[in-house]
Amino acid sequence: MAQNSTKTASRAPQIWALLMGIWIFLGGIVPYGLLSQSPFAQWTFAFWTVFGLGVIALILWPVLRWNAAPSEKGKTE
Amino acid sequence: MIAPLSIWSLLAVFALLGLGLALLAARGNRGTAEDYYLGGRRIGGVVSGLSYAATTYSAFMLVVLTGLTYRGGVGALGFELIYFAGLGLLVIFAPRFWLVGRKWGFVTPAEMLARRYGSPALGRLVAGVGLVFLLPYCTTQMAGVGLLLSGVTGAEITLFQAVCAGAVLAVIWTLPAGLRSVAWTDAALAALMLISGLLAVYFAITAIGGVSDFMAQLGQERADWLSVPGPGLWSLPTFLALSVPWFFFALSNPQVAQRLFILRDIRAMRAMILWVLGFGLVFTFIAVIWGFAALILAPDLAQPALATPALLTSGAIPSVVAILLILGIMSAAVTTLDSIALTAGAMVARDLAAEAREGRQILIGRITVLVVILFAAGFAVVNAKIVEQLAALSAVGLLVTVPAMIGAFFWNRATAFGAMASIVIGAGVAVILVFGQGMSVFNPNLVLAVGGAAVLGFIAASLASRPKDSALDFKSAIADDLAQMRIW
Repeated sequence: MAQNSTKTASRAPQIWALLMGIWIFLGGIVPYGLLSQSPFAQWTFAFWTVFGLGVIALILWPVLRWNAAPSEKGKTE
Repeated sequence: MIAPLSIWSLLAVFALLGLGLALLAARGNRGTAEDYYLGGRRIGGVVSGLSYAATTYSAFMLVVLTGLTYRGGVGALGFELIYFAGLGLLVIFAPRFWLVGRKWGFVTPAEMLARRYGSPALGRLVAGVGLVFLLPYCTTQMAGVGLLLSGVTGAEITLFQAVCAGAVLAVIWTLPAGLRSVAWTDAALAALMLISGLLAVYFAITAIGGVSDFMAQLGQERADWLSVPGPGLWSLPTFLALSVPWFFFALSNPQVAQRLFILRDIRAMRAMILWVLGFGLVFTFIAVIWGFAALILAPDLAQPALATPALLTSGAIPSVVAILLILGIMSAAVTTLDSIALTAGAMVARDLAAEAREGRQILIGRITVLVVILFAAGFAVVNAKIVEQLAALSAVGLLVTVPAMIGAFFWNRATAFGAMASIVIGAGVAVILVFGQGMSVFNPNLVLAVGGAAVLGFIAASLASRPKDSALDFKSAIADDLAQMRIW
């Protein structure tokens, strides 16, 4: 069980990079393919809004699991 | 039109407040170069996040991106969001920059590469390329300020006067305390940019009749603008040509890459990324929606770059909000300019005059800051063609440092010769194609050729040479820290 979770954790960066790559590819290509023929003019705008939110989610996934070291003592800004 | 006197009065108040903040920030400095250029590496998450955002999101957003939306429609949103997705590079590189910066005391990305590959000449080359392509970019910030102020006052404020005002603000906010004053003023101005932008968009949409009327009018009258390629500008090749080099902005532009050295700890880095993401997404939508609103309220402009001044003077935006937004756009320009000037100062002091004593390095940096700001102001006024071309080329030109950056952390076999070959060949290809062959920056073959040449040159020349004995091994040196902090 522990071995499985370690394996999954070690693959996480590759999975993340793959997902990020696919997401960016889709972000660039879908509006020029599927959506360029769409009868609803606002769909491209809506798609890119979802794309932007997806980018935030993908970036936050690894960043929020960082084990932040305790702050150093002293004056900070 | 907006009365010049009200703009001058508010600018004066604005300058004084900024100066007060800068002087207050100066009290934190202890006279070392690390303090002057990096705020002693003790900057917290909120200030660094807002400062990073203000440095990244320049006058380009509410002048050029708005103009691109006005001219070509929703493709501008996609382009800016692909750039936004490039912030994903921070997940991998931000902690690595920070860790090696702490370990070896790097002040600039050029210094980091010089030490990693064991070659001071490489540091000088990276700094040189940075200066050549960044200085013209500063000029466009100044030109944006000039276009805006002369546009909203019917040329009663001249380009020269506007540029002088921008230069004075940049000088007084940078010189007193270096990074500390830049970061503090950036943070305050980022808040102004966001608030004024949100207010302006709110009033513009209200003047159109609310969100549903706004969307309905766009759908009925400007349906072409709501899809790609739209009315013509955003063909797929153009989209790729603009998006690909900007995607690497977080690594290729030294003024933002250097920000990764200033942070107090990883907690502050996480907060910085959260702030940049939030600010970036909201500000992108502000700029694009603003462009669409201009299309409805100020249609048929001959010059799309005048969309913002035209909308501000259309009567739809209350004068107070219009002046606030003008200050917001000036802030965006000046915060980008002063950050670039300070980074240029650091590169000249640390990479080109590396032997200078600590105090001398600060003096050299201050002189460089002045020179950069005067350069930007001067060329914004004379509007030199070569500077315009270099500015347009800046994103592609700076891209040539990216292979060496990636190799520094992930390829131990990479060499100084490989890094130098990559930069020289990549920059050479860029200059030959643009200045020799007349290739447009809207042509995707340019970024493919430059990026391809830089990568191939890096790999081939690295394999054909040996790493120097003095080269550092970043990968092993930070492996334990990365594992401990659960960083990929």
